[in-house]
Amino acid sequence: MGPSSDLAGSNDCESTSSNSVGDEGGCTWDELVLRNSMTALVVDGETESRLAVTEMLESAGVETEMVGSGQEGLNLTGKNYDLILVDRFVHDMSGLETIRRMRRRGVQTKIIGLTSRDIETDKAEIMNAGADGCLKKPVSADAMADILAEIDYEIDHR
Amino acid sequence: MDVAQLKRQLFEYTTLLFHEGFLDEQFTQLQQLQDENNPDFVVEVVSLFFDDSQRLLNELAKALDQQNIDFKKVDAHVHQLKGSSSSIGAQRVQRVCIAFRNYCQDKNVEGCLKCLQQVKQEYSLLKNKLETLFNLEKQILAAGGSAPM
Repeated sequence: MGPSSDLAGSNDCESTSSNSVGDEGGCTWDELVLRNSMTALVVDGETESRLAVTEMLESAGVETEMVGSGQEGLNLTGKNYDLILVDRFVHDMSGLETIRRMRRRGVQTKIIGLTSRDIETDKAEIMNAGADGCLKKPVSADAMADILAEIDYEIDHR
Repeated sequence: MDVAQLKRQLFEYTTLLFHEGFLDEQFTQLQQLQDENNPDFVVEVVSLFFDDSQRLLNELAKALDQQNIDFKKVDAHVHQLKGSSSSIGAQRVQRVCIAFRNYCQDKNVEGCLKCLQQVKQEYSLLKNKLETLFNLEKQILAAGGSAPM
């Protein structure tokens, strides 16, 4: 499926949106071209969803690790990922608590919360926990592309 | 049957599954993630869904068989089943789960039991249909065809 992950090419789309669900515009999956190599961590207690999101990231050329529990996620935060995705449902603690603890540890990586519930209801809670945005599950490729394009842009402009 | 005929059969069968609401675009997205680096991705994810669903259905039956039903526990299981079914595009299973959660919130035992039967039925139907679909794919590969997308 994957978009072009030509690391030497130009960034065909730049996203400056906040990447919350519902934002129009930004980058679609087919338009996505990543200039930089990236790493990501997926923290999701739901197996099928964890696999699907991980495979999506991998197919975009993002080196991805996946875990099912909040504690495993916390244990990996020293690895300085470019993106961390945390689902509301993780095995040992809530996803919101996982995000809060990550921020308390000084994690500055972009953290995106995932929820299968109503996004408008959950968005405020997820953002208040310290996330930079949230996505509704199942995650759409275009929504993911938007986020990856934004991170790619930020890496270029550091 | 030659490869072309098998491919046509697969296409028609898949189209029917979408038309009848068994699958939605999330399943298409999973298929699009499958490539030569991960040729069994869809089968692997769906197999996990089968295992998880069976476990959850067993837990639900047990939870609803209790004298004092813990509706929070029932709801938690249904929420998980809803989540995993939506992750693979199992639309009809997901829809029953939505109704099921409403009955949990209302603490409606009869409604919950009805939904449990419905979700078991939808899951069983879906499992059979997906197994048929994967068998068709295997036949295509065995007949020398390329991996279907």
